[in-house]
Amino acid sequence: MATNAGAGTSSVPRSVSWGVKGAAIGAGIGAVGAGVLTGYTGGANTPLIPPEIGAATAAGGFVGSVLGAIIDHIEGSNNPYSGPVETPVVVVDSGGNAIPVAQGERINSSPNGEYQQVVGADGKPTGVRVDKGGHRTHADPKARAPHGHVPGVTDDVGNPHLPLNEPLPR
Amino acid sequence: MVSLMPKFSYDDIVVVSRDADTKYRPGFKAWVVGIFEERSGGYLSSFPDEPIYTIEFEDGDSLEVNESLLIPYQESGS
Repeated sequence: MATNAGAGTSSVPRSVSWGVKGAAIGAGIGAVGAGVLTGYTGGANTPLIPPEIGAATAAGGFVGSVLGAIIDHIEGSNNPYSGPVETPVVVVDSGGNAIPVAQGERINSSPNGEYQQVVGADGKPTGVRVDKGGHRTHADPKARAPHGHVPGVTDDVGNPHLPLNEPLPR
Repeated sequence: MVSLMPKFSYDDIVVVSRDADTKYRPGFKAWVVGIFEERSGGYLSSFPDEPIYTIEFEDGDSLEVNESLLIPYQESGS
């Protein structure tokens, strides 16, 4: 798990919170109005700037049209929760835990966002997964706790259940 | 498109049917960590037309398996 890969530490210029419901912004957005989107922290279908506002302002002027285009882009093909992304994105939660999503990949998530996994362009899960909900009754406390998985990566004692950062206090 | 309601939910504990192919690790206990109600890409098309799950075994390994190969885990040791 690419933990601690917060904004500015990734090769992909955009990183956002997935929160409870999940969220993402495409890397390509950075070229157009990146500053406008800095505050995007909503879920996959709950952008900070509602689509209807974007649409209305788009009808009213240039700024609006840019905003609308950005929102369309967010909710379109570069949202890994909606489908395969056209350009790489990194989804980051409030604890700094990051999920890199490559071109053509998407994220399959539980409704509450507790279980998320990256799915490849061929439809096969890549093995990169966040199990924030843990696995109840598991004999290994590391597996019961929130954890992540990255193929071929283990902790210092060979455990594949990788620790996650806790969410930052608000 | 798979439209059937999944029988299992996230974090449900299951056991792979003993009738399953050995590649699915029959008889092993696992946790549901992924549910596919829709299919995209060729990989999942090889599965029967029913919900497909990603399950994680106790050792952390995971794989995809179709619903009919899973049974609910019983505490007594299903």
